[in-house]
Amino acid sequence: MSGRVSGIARVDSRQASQRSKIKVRREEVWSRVRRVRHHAAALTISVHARAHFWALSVLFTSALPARAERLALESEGPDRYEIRAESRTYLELYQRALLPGPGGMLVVTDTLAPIHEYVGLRVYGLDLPNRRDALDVELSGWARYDLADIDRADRLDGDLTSANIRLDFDWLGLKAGRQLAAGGAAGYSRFDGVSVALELGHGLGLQTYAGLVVIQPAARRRGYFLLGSAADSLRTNLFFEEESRAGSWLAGARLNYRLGSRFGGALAYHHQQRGGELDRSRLAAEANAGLGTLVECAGRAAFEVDARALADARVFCDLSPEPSLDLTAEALHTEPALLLSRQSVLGVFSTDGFDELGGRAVHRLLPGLVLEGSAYLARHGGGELGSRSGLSAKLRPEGTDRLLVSLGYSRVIALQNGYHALRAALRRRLWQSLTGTLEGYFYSYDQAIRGSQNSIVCASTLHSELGSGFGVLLGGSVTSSPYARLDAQTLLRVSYDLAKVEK
Amino acid sequence: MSVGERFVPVLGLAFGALLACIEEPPVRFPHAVHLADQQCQTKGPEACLSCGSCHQSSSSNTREMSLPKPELCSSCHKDSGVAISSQKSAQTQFDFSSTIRFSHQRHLAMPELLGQCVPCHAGVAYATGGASPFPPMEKCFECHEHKSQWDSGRCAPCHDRKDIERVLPVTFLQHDSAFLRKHGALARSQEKVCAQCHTQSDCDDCHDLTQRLRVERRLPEELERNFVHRGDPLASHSIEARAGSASCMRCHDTASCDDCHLERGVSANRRLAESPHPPGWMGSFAGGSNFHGNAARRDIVSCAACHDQGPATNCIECHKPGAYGGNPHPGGWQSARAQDDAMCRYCHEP
Repeated sequence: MSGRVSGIARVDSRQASQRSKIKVRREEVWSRVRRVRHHAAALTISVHARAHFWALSVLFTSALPARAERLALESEGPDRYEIRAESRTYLELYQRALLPGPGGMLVVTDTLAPIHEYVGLRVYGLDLPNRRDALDVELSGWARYDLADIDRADRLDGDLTSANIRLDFDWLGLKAGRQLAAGGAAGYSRFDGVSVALELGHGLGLQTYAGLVVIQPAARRRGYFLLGSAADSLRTNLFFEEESRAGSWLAGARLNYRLGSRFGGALAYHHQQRGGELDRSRLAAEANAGLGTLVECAGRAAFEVDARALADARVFCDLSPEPSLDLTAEALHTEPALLLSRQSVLGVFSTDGFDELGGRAVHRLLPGLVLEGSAYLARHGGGELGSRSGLSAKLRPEGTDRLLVSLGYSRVIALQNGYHALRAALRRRLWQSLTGTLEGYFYSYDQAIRGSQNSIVCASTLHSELGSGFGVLLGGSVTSSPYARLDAQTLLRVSYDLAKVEK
Repeated sequence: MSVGERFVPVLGLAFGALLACIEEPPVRFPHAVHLADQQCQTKGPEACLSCGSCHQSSSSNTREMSLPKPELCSSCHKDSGVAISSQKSAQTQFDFSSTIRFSHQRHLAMPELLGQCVPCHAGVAYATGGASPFPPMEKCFECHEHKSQWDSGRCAPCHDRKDIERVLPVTFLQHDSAFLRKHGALARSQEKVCAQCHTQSDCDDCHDLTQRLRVERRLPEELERNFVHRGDPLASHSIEARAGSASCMRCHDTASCDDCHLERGVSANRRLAESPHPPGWMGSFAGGSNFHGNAARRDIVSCAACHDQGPATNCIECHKPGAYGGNPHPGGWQSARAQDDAMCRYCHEP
C-alpha cells in the first residue's frame, strides 16, 4: 500500500513599502556609489589597487542600471513564493527465500512487510531584504520500517537525501547543505558542503563545490542487506565495521562555455577522499556543436589522474534529416578498471579496454506510430565481440494518450551468455479517470541460469484519479524466473495532490 | 510450441489490427480562407475579417482569445454551425494557453506590436496541420525582459511551476528520444533551468541506489519512461553488466554489488558460497579458455562485484609480491601514490 501527498501553496502579498524602496533604488544606488568612490579616493592605497578598485566599480555600476530596471519591472505585481510538500507511503508484503544459501544450510523463508515513507519539502522564490525571489529551500528524505517479525538488529532505516538552501543573485548562485555533485568527473556524489556558481559573462560559467562525503547507508555498515544472523557465515567481520566520515571529503570545479543552445564545452575536475585515502581523482572534458536542427555532435572524456590514463571517452552525433526521423551514431571506449574506486585492489589490475560502436534510429512513421531501432557492436579485450540491439514500436491508434500499445524486442550478446527478450505493453483509459496498464516480458537465455532457460514477467495496474486531488493505483505482478518458480507481488498506492486545488 | 513461439504471432496480429485503427489527425481551421481568400471590399454581405473578428477577449483570460465561441461561426455559417463547432473542438489538443501566465491585452498595447497579431502568430494563416499554432517560446525571447529571465533560469514569471511540471519542453531542452543520453550534460550546464521543474529528488529517483524501493516499483504505470531495471533484472543483470559495465558504474559501485551478493550467498566473503566459476578457473589445473586471468582482463568490474573487500580481497593472496600469481599491474602502469599508501600496503608490505 502506498500514499502520496503533495501540495503547493502560493502566497501573494503586496508589500507597498518594499515596492516604494525599489522605485527609488536606482537613485539610491547611484548616490551610494558616488559616496564610496569619494571615500576610497581619500585612502592611501597603491596605484595598482586603486586601478583594480575603479575597474571593479565600473563593472559593478554598469550592471546596476540593468538590474534596477529589472527590479522596477518585477515590482509590478504581487510578491509570490511557492511551498510544495510531498509525502509518499508504500507498504509491501512478500515472502522471500534467499537462494542459494550457504551449502548445507536450510533455506529459510522470511516474511517481510516493510513500509517506506518518502517526504519532500520545497520552498521557491523567498525574498531577501534587497532581492526578490532569491532564496529556495529543499528538503527530502526517506525512511523504512520493517513491520513483520524478522530476525534483524535494526528495523528502522532511512536517509536524508537533500537539505539545502539556494541563494540566487543573477550572476552568482550559492547552495549550502546536503546536495549533489552529478555527472561528468563527479559521477553521482552526495555531500554536505557548499557550491558556488558564477556567470562570468560571454557564455562562461564556473561552478565549484566542496564538502564532506555523505556515506551511503549501504557503505555505513557493510553487510547492510543481510537478513538474519549471518555473521558466522562471513570470512571477515569487515562488513560490520561502520565507516567513518572522517577523512571523507570531496571538491571539484567545472568551467563551461555556451554559445546559444547549440555550441558549448566544459572542463571539470573532481577529487574525492575516503577515510583519508584517495577514492577518485578525475578530469573530464565535454563539447557539443550543432548545425541548426539538422545535426548535433557531442563528446566527452574522463581522465583518471591517479592512473594517468583515459578512463572513458565517447562521441555521438544526432541527425534529423527530416522532421519525422532522428538518427544517432555513437562510439565509446572504456577502461573498466579505471572506473573503480582507487581504493579498490582490482582497480590497479591489468585489464583490456572495451570499445563499442553503434547507432539508433527513431522514425515517426505515422502520426500515431513511432518505430525505434538500435544496434551496438562491442569489442572486448582479446578480440571477443558482443552486441546489443533492439526494435520497438509504439502505437497510439486514436492519436492521443487514451490508448498506447508498445511492442519491443531486444537481443544482448555478452561474454559467456546472452538473451532474447520480448516486451509488450498496453495502456488504456477505460473511463474518464480510470487508466489501466498491462505489461509482459519474456526472456530466453542462451545459457541456462540455475537450470532455467526462461523468465516470464506479467504486470498490470489500475489507476484512477478520484477528483479533488485524490488518486488510487492498484498493481500486481507475477514472475517466473531462474531465481523464483513463482513470485507474486501486489501494490496499492493512494495519492493526494494539493496542486490541483487552487487557493 | 514454446511460450515465446506462441507469444509472437498473437502480438503481431493484435498489433496489425491496431495499425488499421490509426485515426487521421484533425484538420487545421482554414484561416487562409477566412482571412485572405474572401471577396470582401466589394458590394455584398461579406465583410473583411481580421484576427480580432473572431478572437476576441474581454479580459486577460488567454483561453477566450484562443478559442472563439461557436456562436461567432454561426453568424456567417447559418446552416452548418453545429458541424463547424465540433471540428474546432478537435483542435484543443494543441491548447497550451492554460499553462502560461499571459495577457494578450497587455502585449497588444505595447508600442512594439501596435495591436498586431502577426508578429507573434506568423504562419498561422496558411498552416494546414501538424505543429501547434501557438508561437514557440523562442518568439518570446525577442523581448529583452523574457530573454534575461531565461538566461537567469527563471520560468516562474510566465509559468506556474505546477503547470510546467506537467508539460514537456518542446523548443528548448526537448525531452525527445535522445534526451536520456544528453540530460546529464544539460543538467550540469543549465542547472537553473532544469531546477524550474526538477528537484534533486527527481534525480535520485533513477540515480540514487540507496533507495530501497527502486523506481520501477514505485511508478509501475509509467510504461514509456526508459527505466533501466525493467522486467527481470535479477536474472538479466549479470549479462547486461558484462555487455557494458560502464553504464552500470554510473550509478553503482562495487560495494553495492557485493552487498547484494553477500546477502544471496554468492560473494567471496561468504563461507561456503556457491561458486559460479567453471572448471579450470583457478588452482592446480587452471588454464585454457576458462582461466580466470583471461576473464579478469576482459571484465574486471564483474570480478569486483564479488571480490572487492579491501584488504580481505582474496586476489591479494596470490598476486602480492613473492606469490605465484605474478604481477597484476599492466605494462607501463604508474600511480601518483607512494607505496606506503594504505591501499598499496595491502600487497606491498613496507
